[in-house]
Amino acid sequence: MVEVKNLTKSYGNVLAVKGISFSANAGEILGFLGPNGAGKTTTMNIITGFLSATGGTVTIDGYDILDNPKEARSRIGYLPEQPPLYLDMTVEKYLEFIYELKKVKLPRQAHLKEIMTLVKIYDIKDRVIKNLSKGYRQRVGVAQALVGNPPVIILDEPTVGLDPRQIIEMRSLIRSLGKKHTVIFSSHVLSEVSAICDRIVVISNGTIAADSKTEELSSITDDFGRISLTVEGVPSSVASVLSEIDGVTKVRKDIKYSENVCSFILEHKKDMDIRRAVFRAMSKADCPILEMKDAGKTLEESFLYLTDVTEVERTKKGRKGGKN
Amino acid sequence: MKAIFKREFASYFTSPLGYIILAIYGFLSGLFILISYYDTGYSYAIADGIAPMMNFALFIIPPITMKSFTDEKRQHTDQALLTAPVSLWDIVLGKFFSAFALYVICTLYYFVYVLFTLMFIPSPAIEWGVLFTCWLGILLLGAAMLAVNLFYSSLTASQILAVVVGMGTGLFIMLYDVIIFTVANSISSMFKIDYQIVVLDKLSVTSHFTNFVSGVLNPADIVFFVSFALVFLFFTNRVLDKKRWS
Repeated sequence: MVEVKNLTKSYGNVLAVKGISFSANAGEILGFLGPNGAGKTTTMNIITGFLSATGGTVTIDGYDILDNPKEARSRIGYLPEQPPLYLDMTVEKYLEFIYELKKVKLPRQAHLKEIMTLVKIYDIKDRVIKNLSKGYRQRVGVAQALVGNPPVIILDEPTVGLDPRQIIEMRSLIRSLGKKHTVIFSSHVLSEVSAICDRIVVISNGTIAADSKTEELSSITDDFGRISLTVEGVPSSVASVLSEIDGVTKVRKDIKYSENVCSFILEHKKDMDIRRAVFRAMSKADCPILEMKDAGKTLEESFLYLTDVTEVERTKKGRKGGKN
Repeated sequence: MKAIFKREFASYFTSPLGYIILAIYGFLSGLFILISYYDTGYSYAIADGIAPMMNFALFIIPPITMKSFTDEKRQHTDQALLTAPVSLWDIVLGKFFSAFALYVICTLYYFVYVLFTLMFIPSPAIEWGVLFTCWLGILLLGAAMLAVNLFYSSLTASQILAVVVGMGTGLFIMLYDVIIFTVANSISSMFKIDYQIVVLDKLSVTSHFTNFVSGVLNPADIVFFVSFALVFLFFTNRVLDKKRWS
């Protein structure tokens, strides 16, 4: 449905997007994930035809965005980062304007009413947009993107600035849109992307760092396994026993609860379950295991790994860090 | 284009801007007509009253277009327009014609004055031909200046900047003849050439406009104003397109 090939964009000497390729199939919810300034908005602006690419092509439903701009754009509904609202219009008048602007052929009253009901703004349709709260403005922005029932919906950070309840509503709205439309939406919040999307494209520093099914994302970055355990015993001797277990590559003391109780993080070779070996070794050393669990890499860590390490070096693995 | 025209035109009247412009134009045009009644008598009053409006039109026009593109950028609505299935010309012309429509309504005051003349002046002798060329002149002048100011509006996100530059241009156009005369005279005396061969005085907006006021309908004048407007509409179109590529 949406096909992006070798997209590049430079602003002067700055290369913001460096050869991005991906595609979104019909009826798919694609999450576009990346830290601020990674090139998400630029890419979306190019897909929708607001900006032109320096190189590469974008095709929507077979229509090139540059060669057939009208055909391509009529198949896209776009909610930019800032909803494009005329503040001096009422919600209904504004949507009527968008309806005419997009030259929609559907029956007007019924179509607009359906959209306003879907995004829950029918009650406020006669209010002037200037007086609406951020949450309502965002919904009007989504409504605007839905006018004309375009097969592709592109949403740029639709949940930014909303309160937690509105975020939940927005997410379920996006999920329901995914049943009928191809949805591409960007975010820098991981939990959101993993909760909604079928597929995630991680973009970092203008390049694609990963493109995979949501549930596979953490495994592709996992080149070692990890377990965390809490053991009773002298921490230094426990650590030395642990590090001698076959397959363990790294032992790190995590939290010291008391003189004799400490938790550890073990890194071990991938595809190797060392939990039984750990049990036997601890039992032999007479150090009871109070807690043990698999601590595979979280999506959060995968994200940091993908967006951070690609820039620096892939050799520093499993790092923890703040926001990029 | 229709959708943009409709929204844009309605927006003049959802804010005080449209009413203020209509009020100022009505006040000034009425004032000049009144003055020329006393100066020249009834028959020439309207034509003579239109002539000084040129200078004021130059200053009334920048506020008409000041928010055309600046507001779009401020509210990020340009993203909705530029990603909609419409061409850049649809956007530019929609904006231009909505501004022009407001301007045309301004000039309709003259018909009110004509009506009053017919109603209250005994045996009025209105020169319909001159009246028509005057009106055409003021419309064409308006179209050209609206295009220039629309262009300024597309260049910046600041309404004030657009208005100030627009009024500066108005001032320049008003004083163009004097400036050209002074500059060209000093150049021609320095280099011993006739400044008339320098085409600069052919570009004088004032002299082209004066022909209309004196009742002369010269195709060259019409072509001048129309091409003036087209050139700046084309520039505006280019500015919008350039944003995509920057």
